[in-house]
Amino acid sequence: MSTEYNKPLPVPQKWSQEFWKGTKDHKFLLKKCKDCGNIDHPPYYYCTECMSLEHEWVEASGKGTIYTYSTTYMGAPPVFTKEQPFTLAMIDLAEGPRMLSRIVDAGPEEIKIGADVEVVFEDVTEDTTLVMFRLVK
Amino acid sequence: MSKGQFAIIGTGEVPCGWYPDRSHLEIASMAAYLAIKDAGINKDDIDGVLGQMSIMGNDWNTEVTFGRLPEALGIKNCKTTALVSSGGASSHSIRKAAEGLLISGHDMVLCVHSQRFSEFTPGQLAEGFAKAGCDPEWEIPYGMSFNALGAMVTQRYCYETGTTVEQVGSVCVAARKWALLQDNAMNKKDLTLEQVMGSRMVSTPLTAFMCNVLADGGSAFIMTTAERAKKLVDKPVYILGEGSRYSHRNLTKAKDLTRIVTKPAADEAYNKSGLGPEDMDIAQIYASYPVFTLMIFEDMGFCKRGEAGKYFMDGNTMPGGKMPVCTNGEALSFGHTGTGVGTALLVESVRQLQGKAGRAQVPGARFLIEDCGGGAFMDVHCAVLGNEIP
Ligand SMILES: [Zn+2]
Repeated sequence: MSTEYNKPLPVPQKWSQEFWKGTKDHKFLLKKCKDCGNIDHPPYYYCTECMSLEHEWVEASGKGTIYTYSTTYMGAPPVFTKEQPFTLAMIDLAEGPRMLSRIVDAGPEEIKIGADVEVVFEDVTEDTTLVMFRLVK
Repeated sequence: MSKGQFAIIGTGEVPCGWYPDRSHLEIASMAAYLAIKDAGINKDDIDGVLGQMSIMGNDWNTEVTFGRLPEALGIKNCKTTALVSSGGASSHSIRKAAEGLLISGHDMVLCVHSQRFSEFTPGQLAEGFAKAGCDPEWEIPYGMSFNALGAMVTQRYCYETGTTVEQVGSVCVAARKWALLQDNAMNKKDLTLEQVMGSRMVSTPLTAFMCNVLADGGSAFIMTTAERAKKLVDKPVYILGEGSRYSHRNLTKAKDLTRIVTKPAADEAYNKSGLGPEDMDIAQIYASYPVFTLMIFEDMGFCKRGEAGKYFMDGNTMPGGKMPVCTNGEALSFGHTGTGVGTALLVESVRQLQGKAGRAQVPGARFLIEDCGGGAFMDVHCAVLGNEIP
C-alpha cells in the first residue's frame, strides 16, 4: 500500500510523534498539560496556556459535532483531484479542541452543521493512519 | 505613532493580469518609476527601499533580500533595504517597517510589491496556496485547499446569520462593477449574479466566480513624515489611526471564525483617528472571499451583524451607491496578486484621497477605512486614512 500512496503525509514534530503512534494503534490521543489540564491540538512544544513542559497523552472519546464543512468538487491540490467530491469538516471534539478532518461514508447532502460524528481510523499507508469521522446514525 | 505622523505621497501600479513576459524586476521597476514620478520627488531623496515578499517567487525574494532594488532603481542614497512580509497583511507590515525607518534616521521610504503567478500551472498554484494557507501536518494530508478554507467560513457565517449564498455572491457583482472603472484591473467584462451562482461549484457553497483568480501584478508607494510630506505634495494622505489583532495560524484555532478579529482592530483605528464609521467615505476591505467582505463590513460598523448581505445585494456598495466598498474591485475582480492584494487596496485608497482615481473616483472623498489580513485569515489590520488631519 505504501508504494502507491502519493498524497502528502503528515510530517510530525518531535512532540507530536506520540499522536501518530497512537493513530497507528487506532487510538486517538490528545496532549494534555499535567499542570493546568489544557489540551493543545495541534500540540506544541510547551503548553500554550501555562508553558508547562509536563504533559500526558489522554485517549479521546472520538465523539464530536460538525462545526462547519465544505464539499470540494474542483480545485483541490492535484494529488487529490481523483477523489473529488470529498467533504472536509471542522469537528468540535467532545474534549474541547476543534480539528480539521474528513467526513467519510456520507453523501454531501447528508452532512449538516451540528451533526454528531465519531472517529474512524484510515490506514493510508503501513506507517500512517489518519483520523477521519463518520456521521453517527 | 501619533495621529497623522506619517503620510503617503505617491503611488504607482502596473496592469494586473496574466503577463508571462513580464519579470519580477520589470514589475517592480515600473511600479517604482510611476510612484516616484507621481510624488514628483527626486529619487535621490529616498533613503529606504522595502520589498514585499512574492508568494512562491523564491528567486525574486532572494534578489530583494540581497539588495537588488536600490541598485536597479538608482536609489543612490539608500541606507536600508529589506524584504518584509506577513502574508496578506504585508501592506501593513511593510508600512510599519517604513515607519520604523522614518523614526530612526531615514527621510523617505519606497515600498515595492511585485508578483508573478503566470510561471506556474493551476495545479502548482493550488498546491502552493494549500501550503501557504494550511497546516502541513494537520490539514494538508486531508486534501485541504485555500478555497475550502473560504468555503467553510462561508458555510458557518451563513448558518449563524441567515445570510443567503446569493447575498454572498452579490459582493462579487459589486466588485466587478468597480473593476470595470479601473484601467489596471484584470477583469474587463461585466458579471451578473446569475453568472456568479451558475458558475461551476468549487467547494460548497463557493462557485468559481466566488473564488479568486491569481494574477501577476505589483504596486509601489512612497512614505515620509507628515511634516515633510506637506512641503512636497499638494495632497499627502495621512495615516490617522490604526488597529491590529492576530487570531491564529490554523483556521481551527480562530478565536471566532465568523468575525475573525476585525471589530477590536477597527474600533482602535477609529478611536485613534477621532473618527467613526459615519465619517468614512469609502471602505476598502481586504477579503479575498466574498464572505469576508460582509463580515468585515459589519465589524467596521457599517451594518449590524447579518445585515451586510442585503445591503450589498441592494447595490449600496457599487459605484454611485451610498457606501462605496473596494473601489478597485479587490482580489475578486482586480486580480489576486499574492501578498499584494492589500497593497493594491492601499494604493487605490491613496489615489482616491488624492483625487487621482480616474473613472472610479468617489467625489470629494476625505476619509476612508482600509484593512488587510493574511495567512488563513490569521489577522486583521485596520487603518483610517485621510487627506486632512481632523
Ligand atoms: Zn498548562
